[in-house]
Amino acid sequence: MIMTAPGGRRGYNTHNMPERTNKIWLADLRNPGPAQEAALADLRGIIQTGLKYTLQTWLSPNDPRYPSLVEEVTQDTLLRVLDRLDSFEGRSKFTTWVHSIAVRLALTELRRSKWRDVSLESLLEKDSDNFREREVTEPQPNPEAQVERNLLIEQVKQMMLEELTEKQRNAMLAVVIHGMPIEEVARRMDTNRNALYKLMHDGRLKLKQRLAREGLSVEEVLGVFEVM
Amino acid sequence: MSIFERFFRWFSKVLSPRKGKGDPLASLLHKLIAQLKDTRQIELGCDEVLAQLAQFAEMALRGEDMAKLMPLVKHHLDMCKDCSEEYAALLRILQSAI
Ligand SMILES: [Zn+2]
Repeated sequence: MIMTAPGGRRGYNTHNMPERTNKIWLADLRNPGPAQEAALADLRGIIQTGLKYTLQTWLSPNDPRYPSLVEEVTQDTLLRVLDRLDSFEGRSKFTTWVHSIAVRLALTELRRSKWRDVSLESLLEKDSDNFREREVTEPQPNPEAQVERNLLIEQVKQMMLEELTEKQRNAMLAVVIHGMPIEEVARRMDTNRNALYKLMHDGRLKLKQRLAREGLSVEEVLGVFEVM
Repeated sequence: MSIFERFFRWFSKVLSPRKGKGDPLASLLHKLIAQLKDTRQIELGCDEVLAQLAQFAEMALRGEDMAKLMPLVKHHLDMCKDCSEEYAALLRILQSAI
């Protein structure tokens, strides 16, 4: 547990804080001692000020989960920062880098609780039906065009079934159609967000190449589906 | 099914108002295919983007042309909702400090 500064300052006031350059932040944080403790206390205050803005659109400060979330994320951020000091490349202010880590941890937690009760199976149930069977063609004012469209739909559906693995298809449906965060889909598929993004990217590339092989352009397909 | 029944079914279908994109599979495929428009051969993953997000945000706030300077990060933020939400939060933090 990383404790607050000696004297247990609360209600952090960034105005009393010494301005540190990136170099000084790193030096202070690298070696255990009073300088490190002071730097950690300052960083804690900075992270918590930032979290106020991060959480703005996600969670009311009156929400009972708010204080514990802030505390947990702050603690996890400090630990991660200390663990990864060497990976900081100095391309931004040190504190901006720290904020980027805190934001990722905070939103990860918020997404987890927001989607907690949603299972992938229930989410995708209807889509799977759609892929399995197809409704009989409805009579339309222009039957010929309708037949053509249906053929194209069938063709694209077939491509999705042939080019994508089930995992890729399910991930794309959950993310693109149902708006589930990649992070949450990844959790349910026992992978991580980075790997799942790449998996979906591979899928998109394969589909795109297949369309090209079939002599279809993305715009063309979209155009036909749009008039439906 | 009698001819009358068949006709009746057809008739009611023709007359029933079609909601927006009447075909669920078509609208589903449409959304999936739309993603291909912006698909590129080389794309960054979420972790690579996070590693550059701080720099990206600071430069963007200085008014730099990010599509030109860090096109891969910019593209990923356009494609990935998770990362773009995080970027938006980081911008809120940095803007509050100005
Ligand atoms: Zn991402």
